[in-house]
Amino acid sequence: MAVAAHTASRRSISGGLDEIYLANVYDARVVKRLLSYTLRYPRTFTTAVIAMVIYDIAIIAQPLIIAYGIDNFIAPDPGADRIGTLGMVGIVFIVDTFIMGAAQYVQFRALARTTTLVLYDLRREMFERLQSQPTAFFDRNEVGRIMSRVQNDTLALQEFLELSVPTVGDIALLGFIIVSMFVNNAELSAFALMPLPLLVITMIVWQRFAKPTFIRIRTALSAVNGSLQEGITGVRVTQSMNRQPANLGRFDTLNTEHKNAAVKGAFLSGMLMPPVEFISMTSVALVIVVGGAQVIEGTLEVGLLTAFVLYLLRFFEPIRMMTMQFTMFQRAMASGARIFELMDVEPEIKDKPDAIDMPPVQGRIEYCDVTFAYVPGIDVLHKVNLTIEKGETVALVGLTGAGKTTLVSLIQRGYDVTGGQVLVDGIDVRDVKRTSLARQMSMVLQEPFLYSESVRSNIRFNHPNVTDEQIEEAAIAVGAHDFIIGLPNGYDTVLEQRGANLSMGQRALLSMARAIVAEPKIIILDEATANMDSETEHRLQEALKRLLEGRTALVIAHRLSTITGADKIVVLDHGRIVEVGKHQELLANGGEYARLYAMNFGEGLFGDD
Amino acid sequence: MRAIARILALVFRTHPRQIALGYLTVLGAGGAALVIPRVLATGIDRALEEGGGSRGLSALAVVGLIVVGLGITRGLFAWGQTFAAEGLSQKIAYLIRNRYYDKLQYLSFAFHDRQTTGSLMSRATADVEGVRMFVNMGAVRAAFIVVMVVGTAVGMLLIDVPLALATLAFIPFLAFRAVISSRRLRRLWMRVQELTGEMVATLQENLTGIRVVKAFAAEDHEIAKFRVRSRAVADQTYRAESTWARNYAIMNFGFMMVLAVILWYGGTRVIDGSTVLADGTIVYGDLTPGDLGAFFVYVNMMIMPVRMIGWTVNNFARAASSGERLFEIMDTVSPVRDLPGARDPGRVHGDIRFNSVSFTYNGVIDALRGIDLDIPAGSRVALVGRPGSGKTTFAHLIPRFYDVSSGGIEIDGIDVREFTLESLRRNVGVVQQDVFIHTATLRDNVAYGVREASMDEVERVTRIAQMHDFVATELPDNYETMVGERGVGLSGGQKQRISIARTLLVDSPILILDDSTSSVDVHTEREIMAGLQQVMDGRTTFLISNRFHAIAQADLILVFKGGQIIQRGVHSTLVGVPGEYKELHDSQMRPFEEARRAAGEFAQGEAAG
Repeated sequence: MAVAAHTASRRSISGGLDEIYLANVYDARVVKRLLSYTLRYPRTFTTAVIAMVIYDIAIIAQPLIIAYGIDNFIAPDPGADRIGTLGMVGIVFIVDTFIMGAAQYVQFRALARTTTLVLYDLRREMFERLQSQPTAFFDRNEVGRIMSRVQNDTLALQEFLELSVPTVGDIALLGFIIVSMFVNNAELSAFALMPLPLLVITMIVWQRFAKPTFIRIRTALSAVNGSLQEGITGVRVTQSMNRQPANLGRFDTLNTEHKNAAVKGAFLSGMLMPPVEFISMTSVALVIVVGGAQVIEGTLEVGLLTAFVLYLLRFFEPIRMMTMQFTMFQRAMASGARIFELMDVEPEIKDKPDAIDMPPVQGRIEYCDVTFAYVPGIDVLHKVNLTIEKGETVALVGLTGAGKTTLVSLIQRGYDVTGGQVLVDGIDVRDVKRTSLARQMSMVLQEPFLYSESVRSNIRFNHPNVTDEQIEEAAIAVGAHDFIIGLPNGYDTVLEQRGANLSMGQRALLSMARAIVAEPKIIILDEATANMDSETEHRLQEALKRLLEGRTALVIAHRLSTITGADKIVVLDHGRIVEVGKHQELLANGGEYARLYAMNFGEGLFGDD
Repeated sequence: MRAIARILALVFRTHPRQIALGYLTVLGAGGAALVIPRVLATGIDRALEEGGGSRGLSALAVVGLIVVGLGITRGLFAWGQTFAAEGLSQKIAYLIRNRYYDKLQYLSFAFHDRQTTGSLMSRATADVEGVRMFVNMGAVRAAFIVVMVVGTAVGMLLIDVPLALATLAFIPFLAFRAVISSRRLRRLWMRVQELTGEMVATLQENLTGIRVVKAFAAEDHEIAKFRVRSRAVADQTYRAESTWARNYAIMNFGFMMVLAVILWYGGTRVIDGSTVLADGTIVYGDLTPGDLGAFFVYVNMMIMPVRMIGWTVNNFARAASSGERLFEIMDTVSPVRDLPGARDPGRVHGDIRFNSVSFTYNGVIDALRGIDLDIPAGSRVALVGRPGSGKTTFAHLIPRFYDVSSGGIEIDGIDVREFTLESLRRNVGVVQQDVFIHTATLRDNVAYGVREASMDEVERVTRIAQMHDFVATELPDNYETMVGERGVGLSGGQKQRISIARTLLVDSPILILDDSTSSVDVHTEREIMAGLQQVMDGRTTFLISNRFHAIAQADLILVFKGGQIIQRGVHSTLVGVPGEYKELHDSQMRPFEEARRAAGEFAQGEAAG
């Protein structure tokens, strides 16, 4: 039942991220929003634009300087100092070149500054938005999918930002070249540019024609990599079941599909070259024929003709680059849409505008007629009423799916109640700022989560004011000090990912020490089910005693000693509290508790959520 | 460099015709490109000599036509070159991926224990891409660079030796700079990769540990941490891009200086000694204006190839290290493989014998020591012990997931190393602790080991595993529902049940159940065990479990401690003697007994009162 509800919830609650695979080459909303990020850095952005214009002008000037040079010594004027003129031209050329190089350098640097800062902002804001999402969001969206947005999609945008601004520069350059050509010789320019529309049409037709193949290549590659990953993670099952030949067959099918698509892609990208060459060379030929005739007639100087040829050589490369970038643009638009979608998911659980800071917590918790549903209509908690006095330890027991985890999640507003209310010290938890309450509570989870940082910073976690002495005291209190000082660098030993270099018991002790330094008034504990050796078991129980001392505690209990040691046992069944009492009473009652007890045969397995 | 040689050998051996085609097109495209400046130069000069009128015009028209023709030729060859080089690289990537995938499938468990999925995947993606780029750019198009650089040099020398030498003097310097800067850039970008990796790790830890973050209200702490990481990425990226921008600008400036040299020195040589004859025709010095134009075009043509030299050197370096990493895996010989003379004895009975078996893990830890054992076919054996005592290792030696370090294991009197791996694993079915669900339909997951299984058979084993009801009532498309990473999410217990079902389907005479119901709730576990009773008839079964109601039913219980079997027998006798078994049993049972007694007293007290 609970499983079905969970499965259903993944599919039906809003706020799940949809996959956006395809987008247009130009998506106004994405571009507009990206632009707004860029404009946060007006100085660097303006610098980039100005440098780009200077660069373009310097480039335009170059062929003209060459033309001037050629024309001034080609048409020999017997009296003139031609070598001197040429020297002057040479110096102007070098100065122009220098300006060009400097402008380009400034442009690229400013551009790099802007794009890296924009990406930094995007990542940061995405991360902040993620932190503001309630637990439910993470139930619905797998870590891998979120990761790929923050990681791959920003990379796609980075590529886009880095290439798109130079592309804008290229387009501007084309404009400058055209203007310069027309100013110098309108007739020749008209001839030179005549094949241009043909080129644009060719590009568009080709792009339409080739697009499906490039999408196919990408899809096929991600299928290949997906299959490979499964092959690696599932290799033990594969070997045990003799599936290698069948798996290779399947992998080969995907791999072949990718190869075929990629080879076709190679064919298609090459296909563009003959028409582009034909068109651009036609342009050059027209300039030679028409311009040559003008030179012979004496209406055009040879130098300017050379300048025109040089212009044309510069002309077609940017156009070709732009076509190649079509698919990249498309990918960036899809990535941008996905990133902004993630940033736009409003957290379902937010602080009220008039939320107050939680006053220092005493520790009394009340559930009043609490009802909760993950999916509307399917209640997992039904009218739960429960009062936990300050300093009391309450053990929650029940089968998998009875609602234990849900019940404890409501205090910290991991989820909001569907009906009724949860009160801490008589204050509805929805009336206070979530963090102000959560900071006065600690949660110790079944699977202790440790960071790949030093032992010290794992215990300190988000309490920067905790001193090294306090950390050590906490470690001593839970009995972790001895093993910590035995580590290579003691408290400064950096843990492997997820604390892999520690035993399960050691990890649990550290997470308890972390909970102690937070000095919580309320503790929520999800006890581990795993079997441990008796030594560790004993230590954990001792640590637990220290942890719960003088605090209000809600324990999802799996260990008998924890259950028997509790002030109150609450038995949950299908979202209802069916029994409350002490161990002996409940056993004697012969109700659900006694039944669970017999079934588990005393072993620490009251099911896990 | 050995890796480079092997890549080239692979290319030449598997696709000799395509690489020949590649080089042919390189020559063609290079040749056509190189001829164009010469045609232009001579054409223009001749047209100028012909003077005005139709003869001059027709000479120009001929030049124009030739240029267009050469353009098309160059385009066609470029098409062929792209297709040959890019296509070839894709085919090689396909080959390598297939071989790599298949190799991984057959490498031993010990290998996969040591490797992380991440590092194996990065070889398959980044390193295969590195090799592919080399085949495309290094193996085929590097030839183009050579042709172009040599060709333009020869072209210049043919026109004018002194000017050509003056121009070419710059080239080694520029090429050297290109190489140096691309090496420095590679280091900078590798640092960006490292920092990005750290940022991603922070993100991943944050997302997987999001419940801890929420529980401690540590969002701000995490945001600050991520901000530092992503800022480091932004700053390093900026550093790398600035360096790139500087190099790019310097290179460009270098080439422009070359043009300045041509303009000045070449121009001087055109002017020196030039005179205007009486009839108005001009006699030039050592060079004509057409020659000068050709030089400009040649230098323009050289820019790209020289720039690419730096790139290609980088490409070689990357391919060498990528190739090494790939070949390292592909050359690994699995110690667990079919030995010479291995045979398929068909279906075994299931008598198992351990002859003083020892196993050392990674050459350091004694995981098993001196195991001697005789198990008659059809026995139900329970393996008991604390974590790390050696019971899973014991079970894994039977299907040769690992090979014994000394001693031997026999099935029906045949050493397991004399079986082919395929036949051995067909005879030994294992439900592993770590369950892997493939992204496929539920049916395909169950039929993983027996692809031709009928629906009835699939349903039968799914029923035994207590999974059928869930599949039939809760899954949207029942057996055709997609499960796994990109499908419907399943709980740990459900995955375990699929794993049981799929092993049962293989119908092997020897069955190993390794803690296969640890995530299933107690109630369901009992039903699974009940269903398994009939399945276990006539099979040799090994059961690893912590649950004594299951253990108690075994014909033989083996108690492991420190890699040795310290007790063996049946439940009724073992539980009666002091020792590890009794200790384990009592640690679970004692609290239960005590509680029962207490409850009894309580009840009596109640009754009495």
